[in-house]
Amino acid sequence: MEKLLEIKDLKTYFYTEDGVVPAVDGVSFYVKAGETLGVVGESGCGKSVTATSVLRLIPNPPGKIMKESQITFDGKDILKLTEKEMRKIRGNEISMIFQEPMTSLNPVYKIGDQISEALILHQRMSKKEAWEKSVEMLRLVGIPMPEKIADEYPHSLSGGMRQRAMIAIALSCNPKLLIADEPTTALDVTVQAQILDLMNELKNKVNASIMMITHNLGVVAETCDRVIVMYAGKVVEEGDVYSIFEDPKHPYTIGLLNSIPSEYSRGKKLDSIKGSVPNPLNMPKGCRFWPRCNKAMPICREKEPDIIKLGEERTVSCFLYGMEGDAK
Amino acid sequence: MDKLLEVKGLKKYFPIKGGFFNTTVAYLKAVDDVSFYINKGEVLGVVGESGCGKSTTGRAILRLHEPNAGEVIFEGVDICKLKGEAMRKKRRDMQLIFQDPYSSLNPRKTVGDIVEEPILVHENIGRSERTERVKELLQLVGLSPYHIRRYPHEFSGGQRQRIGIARALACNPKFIVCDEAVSALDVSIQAQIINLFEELQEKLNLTYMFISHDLSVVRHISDRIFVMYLGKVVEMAQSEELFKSPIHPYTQALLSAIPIPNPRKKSTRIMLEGDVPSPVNTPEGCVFRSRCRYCMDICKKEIPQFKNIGNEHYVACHLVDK
Repeated sequence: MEKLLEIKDLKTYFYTEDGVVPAVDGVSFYVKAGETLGVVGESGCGKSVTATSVLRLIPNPPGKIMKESQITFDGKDILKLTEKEMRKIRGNEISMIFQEPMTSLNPVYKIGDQISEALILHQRMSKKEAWEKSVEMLRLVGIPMPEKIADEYPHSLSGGMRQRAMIAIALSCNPKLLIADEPTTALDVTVQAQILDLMNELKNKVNASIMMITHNLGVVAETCDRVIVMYAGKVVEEGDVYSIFEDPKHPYTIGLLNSIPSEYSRGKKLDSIKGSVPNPLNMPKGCRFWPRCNKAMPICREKEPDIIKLGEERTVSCFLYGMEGDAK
Repeated sequence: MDKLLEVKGLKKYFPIKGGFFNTTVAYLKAVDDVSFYINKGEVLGVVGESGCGKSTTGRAILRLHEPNAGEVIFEGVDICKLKGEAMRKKRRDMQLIFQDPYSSLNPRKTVGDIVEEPILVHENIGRSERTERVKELLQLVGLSPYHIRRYPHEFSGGQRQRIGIARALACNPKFIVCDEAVSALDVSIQAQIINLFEELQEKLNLTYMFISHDLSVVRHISDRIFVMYLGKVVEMAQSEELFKSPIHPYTQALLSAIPIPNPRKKSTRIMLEGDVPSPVNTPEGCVFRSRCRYCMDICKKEIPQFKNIGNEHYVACHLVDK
């Protein structure tokens, strides 16, 4: 399959008063056409900054995408486009679903108007056409009585309905890539199940790729084809969803998987990862995970591990692997 | 086993004001006729979607929200009837841990002040003894004694939650309500705090009421679980039994909606239609009937009784009677 989005050595730094925060530090990955890529990691690992960098929505200053970074989308070099060209891509070819359905809709515009906005701008539709298409989109995402809801304001909708409306906006221009930044975190489990099913269904209908950013490993297992695991601004492991869950390699991935309570964990102690995420102003030297790693070796404190290829589309960034002979 | 706490017919209605004279136009039934009990040394999990009344239940039994009706019997005394000083003394035994570790600590006070305050209020001991006690508490929850002079902003989310726990433990309580105590934390930190809760329970012989919307966390920590929907308890059972053989249609749907962290297991979901109805005008009869797959005629008329179907498994559903 062809690569729809390819990111090479992405570095997004924030220049704050206290110092430079390397929120994303040399991240490389790709999204193929028609697949769902999961981006997993704890808060502060740079998942959302990666996503906003792709759309070039990083506030500058204080944020800056460094020169050596490369983002190629559908043959275009995103970082070299003018702002005008970029605007044609946002919401049209790449669209985004945000975490907070409560705050990402404008409270003073009708739902129908908010969906129409993208259609009028990008598809050059007339107001009337756009409104009809909006109603159709609302029906597609499973909102009952779409004609009536299009005429309502966001406050009269529940959280799940708002997230559906957000998805309708995001999909209205048939984007090639949909970035979903924690789309279900603010929702209850039963609503979360509805939204995830809806996204899977729609992905097949409109044949879009999805970049699913989440910290919920259950959501990843249910929706994604491939997964990248991020820690402190770096990709530590990459692989298809089966190998990540059944044969995780990086100690961080292993720790993360072991710390979720399951039906077998009752009465036992959970394997937690000791300590907490490092301060981004003061990253540890060497591998960024070593202070919390239970397999840390002297070399981990000195040098940053390279990305080691373990197989087709399977990489890990850890000194435990790749050394001939002594690798486990 | 001894019952530490027994709640009978607990009700908490919030008035909704409106109209010209700002009169009460309706009531929001946050907790409507809830009964349950907690044994000594047990962990009771409370699950349900947002707005189902789980947090209000937790607060009403501590009388942080004054219940409108019902009894809360703690160690044989109905605490709803206690007044003034007697109630204040009882509060030593019952504590609450909050969800958001960022807003539940006063940013202008040092960690030492925060943890010391309950001791200052409830116990008549001197300053140096108090400081000793605070240091002990900090060590108990996995912090260091030198943290005593620091301010909350210097700590990470997981550490702040530990401070909140130390404060709750300050007066040697018997019973702690944990209201979404691990929900705001990252997975790896969440596991640390869950382990801490379990360690403390063993060490100090605590009883928890563990409120959470995260079902896998509740399953891990609880001995018994009760499920709430729209202010009512719909099912209560031993933890494993509830997950293996849920009886109420709502519990079945709720459990099937949990995403399983195993890509080979595709869960068969029971999809619930629509959203939770507004708690202001709840449906007549069974509260769940508007979203239930098995809704019958009787469900529209009669409120189902909450009954024991054997082995301490309680359900409120008309299906059981058939």
